[in-house]
Amino acid sequence: MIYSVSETWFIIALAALATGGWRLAGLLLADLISPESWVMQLVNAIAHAMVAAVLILIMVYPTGALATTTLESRLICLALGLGCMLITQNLWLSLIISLSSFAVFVSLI
Amino acid sequence: MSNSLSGHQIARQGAIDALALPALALGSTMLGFGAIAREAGFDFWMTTFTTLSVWGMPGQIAFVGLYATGSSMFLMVVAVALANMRMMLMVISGSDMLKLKKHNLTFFQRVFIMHFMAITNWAQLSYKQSTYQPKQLLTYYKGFSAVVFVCGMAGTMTGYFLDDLLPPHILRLVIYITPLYILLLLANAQQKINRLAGLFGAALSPFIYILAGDWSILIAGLIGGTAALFVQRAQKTLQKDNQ
Repeated sequence: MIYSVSETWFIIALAALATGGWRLAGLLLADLISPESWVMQLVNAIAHAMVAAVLILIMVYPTGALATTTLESRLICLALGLGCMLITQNLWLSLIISLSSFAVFVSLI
Repeated sequence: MSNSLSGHQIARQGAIDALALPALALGSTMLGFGAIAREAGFDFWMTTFTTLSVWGMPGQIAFVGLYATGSSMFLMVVAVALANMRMMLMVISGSDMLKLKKHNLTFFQRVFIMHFMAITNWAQLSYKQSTYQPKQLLTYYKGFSAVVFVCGMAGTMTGYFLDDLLPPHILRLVIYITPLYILLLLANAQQKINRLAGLFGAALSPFIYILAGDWSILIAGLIGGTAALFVQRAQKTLQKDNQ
């Protein structure tokens, strides 16, 4: 189906509402949940798990330019970076190691 | 704790931390979005307004992807709502980290502040949480978010006009930075329960994706987060028993 200009604007407005609605719900719920409660701990934990899930899915099932690289190269370089982060706790060192090894991997293939 | 810093210095530090990499990485990701949106048939203002009003990269990509294939309006709205459901949890968790209740803000100010809450800013908060006091953290967040937002908007607009600005073999390196950077931040999250939750969510989602498609983020998040809480409770109980 091809949408007209006004229909497209309408869909964009709906997409904005569908996102803004979640943010609004979050603000309203934030007032109800006490910071020290186990519910807040659970919400924080689920948020971390969801964000990690989104990003791993981008890594494992990418679209666009990233899809022209191999799965092994993406995951091995991620593992290198994570390993370095856990050992050294140094964000920049881990980023540089992971990214430069990815650059080498990608140019070899 | 850095007590002696003025508001300006903290906001500037946030802006510098953003410019150092995350804002540029997100700008490049949005460059990709601008290019995809044009291919999907959006005009310049539609593309710009989508980034401005939605401000959630994975949802936006899903949105224009479905638009390009001519999906039904219902399916598009459901896909965006599903992909961005995490916003609710990130806003709750972000309000908690920023101690938003203590800041004496009007409701509209809080809505405005939370419009910019997206993965990059939220992960940075989780990472910087213990570096600043709550009042300073909000100032830091404002400086950081402003730069990330400007770069995201600039990336979207540039991507619309110049989808061949970067050659593909460079672009794929640049696009790799955003997920890599944020996963590294998560691996170093302040609390053990949150690191564990991230690990569970990341390990489960690719497998759940095969079965459940777009629902996998929600399912992996719920299972991963709940499992992490249980592990933490079990460890606490064990420690008590041993004492």
